Amino acid sequence: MKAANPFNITKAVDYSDEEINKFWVDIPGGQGFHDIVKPTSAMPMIILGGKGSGKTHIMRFFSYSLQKLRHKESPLQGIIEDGYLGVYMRCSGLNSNRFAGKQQEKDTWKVVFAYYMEIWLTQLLLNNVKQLLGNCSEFDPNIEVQLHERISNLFDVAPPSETPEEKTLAGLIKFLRELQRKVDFEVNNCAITGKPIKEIEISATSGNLIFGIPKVLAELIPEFSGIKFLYLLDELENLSEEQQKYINTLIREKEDPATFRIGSRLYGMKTYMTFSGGEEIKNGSEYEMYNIDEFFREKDAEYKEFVKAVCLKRLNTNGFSVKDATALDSFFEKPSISELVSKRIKKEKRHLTKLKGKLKVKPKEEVSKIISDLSFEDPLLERTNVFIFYRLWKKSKTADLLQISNNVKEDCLKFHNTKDSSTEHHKILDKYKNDIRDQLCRDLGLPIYYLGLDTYIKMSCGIPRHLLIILKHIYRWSSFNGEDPFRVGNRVSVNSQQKGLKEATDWFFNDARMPGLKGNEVQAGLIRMGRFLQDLRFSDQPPECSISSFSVKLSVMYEKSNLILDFLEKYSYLVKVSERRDKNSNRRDLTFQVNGLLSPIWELSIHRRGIVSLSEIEVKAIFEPETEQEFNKALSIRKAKYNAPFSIQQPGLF
Amino acid sequence: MDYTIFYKKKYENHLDISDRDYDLFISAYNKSERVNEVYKNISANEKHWIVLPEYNFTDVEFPAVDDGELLFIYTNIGDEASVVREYFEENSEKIQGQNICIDMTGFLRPHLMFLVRYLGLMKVGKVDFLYSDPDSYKDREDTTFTSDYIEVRQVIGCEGNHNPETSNDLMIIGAGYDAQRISDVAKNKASARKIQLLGFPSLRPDMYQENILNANKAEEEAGMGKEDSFSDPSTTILAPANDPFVTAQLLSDFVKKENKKVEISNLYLCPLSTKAQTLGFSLFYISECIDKAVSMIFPFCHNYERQTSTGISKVWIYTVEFY
Amino acid sequence: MRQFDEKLSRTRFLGVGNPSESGVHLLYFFRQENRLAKSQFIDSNQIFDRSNPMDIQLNAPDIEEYIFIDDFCGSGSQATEYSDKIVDLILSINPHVKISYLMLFATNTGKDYVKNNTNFHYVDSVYEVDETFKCFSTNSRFFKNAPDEINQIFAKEMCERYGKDLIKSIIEREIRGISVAELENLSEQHKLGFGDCQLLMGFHHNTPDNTLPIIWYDENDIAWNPIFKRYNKKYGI
Repeated sequence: MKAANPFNITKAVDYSDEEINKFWVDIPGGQGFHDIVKPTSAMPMIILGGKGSGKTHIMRFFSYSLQKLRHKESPLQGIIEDGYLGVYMRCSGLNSNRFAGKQQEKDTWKVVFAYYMEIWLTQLLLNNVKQLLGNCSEFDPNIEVQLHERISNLFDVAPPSETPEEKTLAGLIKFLRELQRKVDFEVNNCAITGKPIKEIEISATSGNLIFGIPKVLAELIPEFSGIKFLYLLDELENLSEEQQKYINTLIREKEDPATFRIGSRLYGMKTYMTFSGGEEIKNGSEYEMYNIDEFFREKDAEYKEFVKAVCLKRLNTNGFSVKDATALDSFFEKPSISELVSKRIKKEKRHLTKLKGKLKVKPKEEVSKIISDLSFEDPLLERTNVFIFYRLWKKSKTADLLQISNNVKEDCLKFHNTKDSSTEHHKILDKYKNDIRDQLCRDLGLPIYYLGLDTYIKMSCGIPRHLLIILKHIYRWSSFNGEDPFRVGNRVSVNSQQKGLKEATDWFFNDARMPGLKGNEVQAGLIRMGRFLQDLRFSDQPPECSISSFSVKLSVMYEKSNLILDFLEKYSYLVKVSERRDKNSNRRDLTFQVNGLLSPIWELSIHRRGIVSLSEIEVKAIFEPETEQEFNKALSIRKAKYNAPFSIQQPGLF
Repeated sequence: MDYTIFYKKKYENHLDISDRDYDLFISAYNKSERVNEVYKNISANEKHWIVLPEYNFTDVEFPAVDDGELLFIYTNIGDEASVVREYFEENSEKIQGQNICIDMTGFLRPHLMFLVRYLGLMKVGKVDFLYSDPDSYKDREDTTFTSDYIEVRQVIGCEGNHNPETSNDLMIIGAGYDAQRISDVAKNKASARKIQLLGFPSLRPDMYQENILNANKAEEEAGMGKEDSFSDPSTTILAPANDPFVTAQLLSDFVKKENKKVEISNLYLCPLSTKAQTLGFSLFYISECIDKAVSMIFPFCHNYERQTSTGISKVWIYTVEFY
Repeated sequence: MRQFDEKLSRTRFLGVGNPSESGVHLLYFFRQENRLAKSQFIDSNQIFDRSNPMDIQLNAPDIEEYIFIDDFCGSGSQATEYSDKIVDLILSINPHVKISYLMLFATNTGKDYVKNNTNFHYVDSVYEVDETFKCFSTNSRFFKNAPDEINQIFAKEMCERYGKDLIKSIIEREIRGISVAELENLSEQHKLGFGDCQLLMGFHHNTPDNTLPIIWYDENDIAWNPIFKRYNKKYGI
């Protein structure tokens, strides 16, 4: 039987609690997620992470459901050791859009939502506590009655306490459920009838339960004294700005022993405002911020080690036996450039025919001499010859091309025979080798190759899910092609790697849609951006090596460009390398790298070295052109600088 | 409840529907041949066109109406509830106790869902729903249906009483051709287990394959990490594309079975497939889901294509009773 | 519900064709899917009591409904033969019995033919296959949204060229001693599937011969790897 694809599951939600535990991998080298999230610290934390960063995985790890699994023997003892009880809540479960519109006043929604959150979160807390008490024999059976009494006092309208069943945590939960049902009915019904919400009786003052109950628990149950009640609110991006203000207010007004860990997408924090005097919550004093994406991107080596450990765990728990992470890369076929070149079908060398075309004004003999000077048996050196020839042509004032080609020829021979580091060839190959290799592939009618695990890790740009998606598709193709991947001695073919990668890339690209924005402007902008960089990268004399990044100085005036760039960054299509704000000119100085997973679309480099700087006119032509011609014109002007005969074209010519 | 005992009738040729006679015929206007042909050929004392704001028709594009016909144009652009409510409030005396047929072919899904919920609340008695099958979709599997996505939200009137506990949330997607919309809803309730309900038998023989080709594009979001989720009965329900009653029955059976395994914490229903199936989802909702932790959700867009199909193949009448 | 059960108990399901053919093969799945009792299925011999050849009777006189099931109806000729042989006989014994013919797939021409030329009371199919499913017809749905590189004329010529050779090899073997002219004529006629149906259809259990021959040809005479094999080498020549 064929083995199941170990990379099929690419998101935490498809894992059960048991699987989250089983597949858990921590960051290597000391600082694990525990040290980052600091679950016993009273300081609230906002955890930001792009789609696929692993945020949900991390948040769920600290939830009671997983604590319980880790401490199967004695959950209570486990909680005491952990020093916290994690109450996990997904904001998407609130279906929060229904607390808006429907011909109701904004203030009505503010009150209703706050009340609803109070009841909602309290149910989750009490459910966890009830489970914990139910699982432990250590507790005094009367404890529930006492808890009921003390907690009842926190309500403005007391819960029923007639029967023994009612005087339990289950009784309280039932009461809360009933309160919630009443709110749901009103909120849902007002839209059907088109009439205003009738009186909703607010049975608990905001914060009284969320902060009050943990206090009661700590007072009445000695085992709970000193532990933190950690509200883990995930998927904050699902809440509207007004609703987030309420969450921020809770953060500001939090009372020990309760505290918060908030999980949100990069774009998810819509505001830092609170309802307390229109002030923002303060980073450092009122909350801490942790950005998973930035962390992974900064810590290159740790990230690499981390994702390899994830791969290893996936493989080995799925019936493969891979000894250690260093062996992983060997499962991928990675032929050398000359091996790839030797397999090509097309025999045309486009770099030479193209050059001939550019020289057509010159006498025939001269052209033949130049071509013969630059021709060389090693294809990579031949392409390097052409590259250097253009470089010298561009620099040269006299444009004595015969002299230039002769110099290139000599330098090439010297480099070939001695590998002398003073040669131009050595210097150029040192800097531009990847670019020249890719140009060669293109000129020989070959695709640009992105091969091997290390390449894919680099392309994932600090987003673990992207790596898993790439591997999922590559595994599928490899398995389909009968290669039996990840078994000793077998290697995933170039073909399977390229095909799998393409599917991952297509998925990411096709998802680039901005909610609310009309038309496909985001994708169109991204396509023009990619084409711009692609044309520069494959010009005769590229302005930079390893092009995949660009910088812009952008004034707020270009509203749409700013909007699209922000969107692309927040959804990780562009990775922000740096940002500076020039207050005087009201401009932002931004540097972005195109996400590595998009590189194959425009044959870009996956490395970030040279940065193409774009003028404001170019940015406008890319992201908000009035016509497609505007873009083509900007591109042509720019390309003329880097392509022989290197004359600056006049704008009027196009 | 056995949904399959409801009455349905198939017309091989749409011209044959003239054998039926109604007091009132209601249809939502769009440019599809099937919507206009049925409107023209059905026999009714009164015929009403409802113009939905989402199609963005301008005054000059409105259809001409004769005697005994009414063109209902919304007064302000609201949500799915406001247009439907406004229409029925204005025409209430024509509805109660009358012999009514509603062509749901041109309705947008959220409006249809609200409509069914509303008719249920009003207890309007017997209503015939009509649905006409297209010959094919305009560009087959590449047909565009919607664009300019806004948000996923619950459909008005179909917002449940949900459970804060989300550990066993389930979402059933009536997976149609519009793969981006499947992705959108799947992402919105990322934590829910996804079940896809596919139209099988499909309306025409090739449409099942076209459907799979598209639904597979949303695999990363909706595929539950399975290689072959479409042939796995634990993640896929097959229901006839033109049978609301069997669709409702299969939904009901599936949910009951799941609840027996581990109780579903929250259930989300999202019909993105044919209108006949959308009616099936709605019937299941109003019969078994009201006031439970169940909602109908939908990916709302700015733009709904006015003509997505060509030709007219068969016409179906489904008789629903709202008591 | 009770009424339904009663009606069901007076209904019998039958396959079209002899027990080795696909119509009958289908009954097994039909029974499973619809959770029907085994006793509700009979073969066509069990309809009649032929103990007195001069006075053929129905074996179960209380049966009110016979439902014939088939997987595919191309030209409708098989169903018509069946009707002549069996349906008419049933009706001559008991004119009140209702007899239906239900298919999974039917060409619209085949279905109409059966409706007009038999005494079945009710004829219907789950799927109807019209002119647009004919691969190279002018309004063929297969080329409707094809990319520019795909050319309908080229594709047709290719299928004809290979299809003709494949079909020729079959006809040659089926009709021993056929004349050259006749062979040429028949291969020309059926090179895109029998009856020039040009279908692109294959079932789980078999592929109809109305489908393009390049899809199903699996004989020994010509080296050819079919994408969907055709078993049961019985051709409608």
